[in-house]
Amino acid sequence: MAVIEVERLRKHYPGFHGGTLALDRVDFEVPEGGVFGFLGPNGAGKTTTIRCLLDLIRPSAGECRVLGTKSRGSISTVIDQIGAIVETPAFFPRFTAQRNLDLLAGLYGMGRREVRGALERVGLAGREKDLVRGYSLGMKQRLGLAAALLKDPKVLILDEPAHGLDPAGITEVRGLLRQLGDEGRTVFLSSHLLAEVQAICDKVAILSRGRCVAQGTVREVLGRGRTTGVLVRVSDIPKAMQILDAGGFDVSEADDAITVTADPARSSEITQALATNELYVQEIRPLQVTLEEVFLELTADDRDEAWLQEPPKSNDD
Amino acid sequence: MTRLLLVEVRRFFARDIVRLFGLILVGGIVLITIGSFLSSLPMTPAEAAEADEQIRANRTDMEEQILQCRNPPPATEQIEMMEQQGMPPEFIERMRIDAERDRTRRECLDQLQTSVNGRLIFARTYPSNIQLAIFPMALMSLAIGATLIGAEWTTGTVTTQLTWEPRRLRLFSVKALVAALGVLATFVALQALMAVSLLPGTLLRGTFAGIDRWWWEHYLDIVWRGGAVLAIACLLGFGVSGLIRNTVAAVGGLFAYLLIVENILRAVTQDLRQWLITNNLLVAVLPDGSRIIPERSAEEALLLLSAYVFGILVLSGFLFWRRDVAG
Repeated sequence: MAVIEVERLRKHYPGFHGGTLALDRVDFEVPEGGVFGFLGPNGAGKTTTIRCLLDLIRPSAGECRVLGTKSRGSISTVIDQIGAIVETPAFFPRFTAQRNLDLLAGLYGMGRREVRGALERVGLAGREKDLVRGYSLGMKQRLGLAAALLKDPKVLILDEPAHGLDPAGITEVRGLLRQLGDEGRTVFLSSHLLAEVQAICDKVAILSRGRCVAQGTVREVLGRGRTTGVLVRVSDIPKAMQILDAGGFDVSEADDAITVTADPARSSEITQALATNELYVQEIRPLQVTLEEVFLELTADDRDEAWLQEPPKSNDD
Repeated sequence: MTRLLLVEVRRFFARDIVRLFGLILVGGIVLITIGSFLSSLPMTPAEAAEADEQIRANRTDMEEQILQCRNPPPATEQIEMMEQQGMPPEFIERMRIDAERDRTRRECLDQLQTSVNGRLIFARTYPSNIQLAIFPMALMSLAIGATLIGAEWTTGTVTTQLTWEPRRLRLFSVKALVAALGVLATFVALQALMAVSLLPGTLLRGTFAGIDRWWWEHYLDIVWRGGAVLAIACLLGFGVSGLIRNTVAAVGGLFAYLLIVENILRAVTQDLRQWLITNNLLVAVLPDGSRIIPERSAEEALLLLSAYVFGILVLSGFLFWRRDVAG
């Protein structure tokens, strides 16, 4: 069963020169359980999609469903099962973290025990009496995560939860999100940290210029990237480069190894060429495609345009 | 609904601006108390008894004076006195019209103040102080109402809250209700504090004489009109701030309108005066407010102001429900 369904979602912000089309017939589904990565460059429409899911903005067309319920107008029936962070979590700066969470917890009849539990889970225990205005961005993110976890939700919709966290914090949050996914909750994670997404997500969708350009398991999406090179490790790098160059290969040196720009299927030709010249290969393997490379490839047009024009604030994801 | 209401009440009283204004009011009460105490004199028991008797004697005349609110007798004596003093005829005529006009019961009650030199008279000082506090409190209420919703937009906490309570109209209504109730609760607390703070001075140097049914009628009239004005000011700030989504712009815009635009309108045309917010506020608050807009009672002024605020709240609520929460 799909926990989140987005069908032909379209959002147009009216304005001068025809306005801005933030989402253009976006379709994807998020299955129950696990971590779903939602990727896209700035202005691609990630936050707009999240706001549509939470009924914070009205789509111009199309529909979103969360837990089988239409977001538009009916999200209140399932909101108690949804924890969310939208952009930088907002709290009253002059209240303590504890008071901020107490006020939210009070809406669902929860007490101090639940608040303390949520704060402990995100590593803010001991800092709950501090005013939020003294919190770093990373601590605010943790507090936002604590607020999202407070309802013990089935679905977590998180917009850049690792934004502003230090490397240790990122690792902690990564572990926490993976754990939440493994517990059977559905974590919908919008992020720029592609290595993190690749490490913890089961499925991903990539958004570019308001359109969903790829979705599937991480393996399936990685399969869409072109593997364009082979890494070769030998004892005599200059000689090997000379041989391969003479053999018509495009080569370059990289960290005690040679990168050959060629289809990995030509690996046998490479080993044969070197062995013929009495150079024996210590290691040869296709260069692994990362999610980052696939992402950059799929969103190249979007980024080119981003150089020319900053996205509007209302579309600031 | 109850939980939302309770949470909003907690949010209201946790706000810095509410606490700051509360402190200012407490400070004001302390100053008034000290001032009242210092301006009164210690009295011997005989002097005190005499003063009490004087107050009681004055109060017995009140019924007749109240009855004279309608169809007051010709102001012959006053006119003669002014003529002897050589005052200009147009001034005397103005005074005559004023003295002989029909007064509201409210106006008469307000004038029935008993004063005895050197005596702290609770029945006189307490309602006067409450009445004095209404204007600054109305300004504070406006700012509180504006910041309650404006700060939510500025800090972005409205987004966080909508991910917990997405029923926007319910959220908006509860916030507005709590804003008005919170201001009224503060007003009640102010009255209690004022009464308590005047107790020592009254017991040591004053008297409770004069607290009778006329006094209660006068006091409760001040309280209900004051409470209504404070709630209206608070909801006006709330509604406008909800429309603009910014506290500073809402408060600045409202003050600019009330102090500049309405003054210009007042100067330009007579016809519009009866519809202006400030004029109607004065009619509602001042005991002799009917001088400002002839034939308009405080109740009518409050009804008109309530209609304005209701309209603004409906528009603000509609936009809160309809507009995207995108920033």
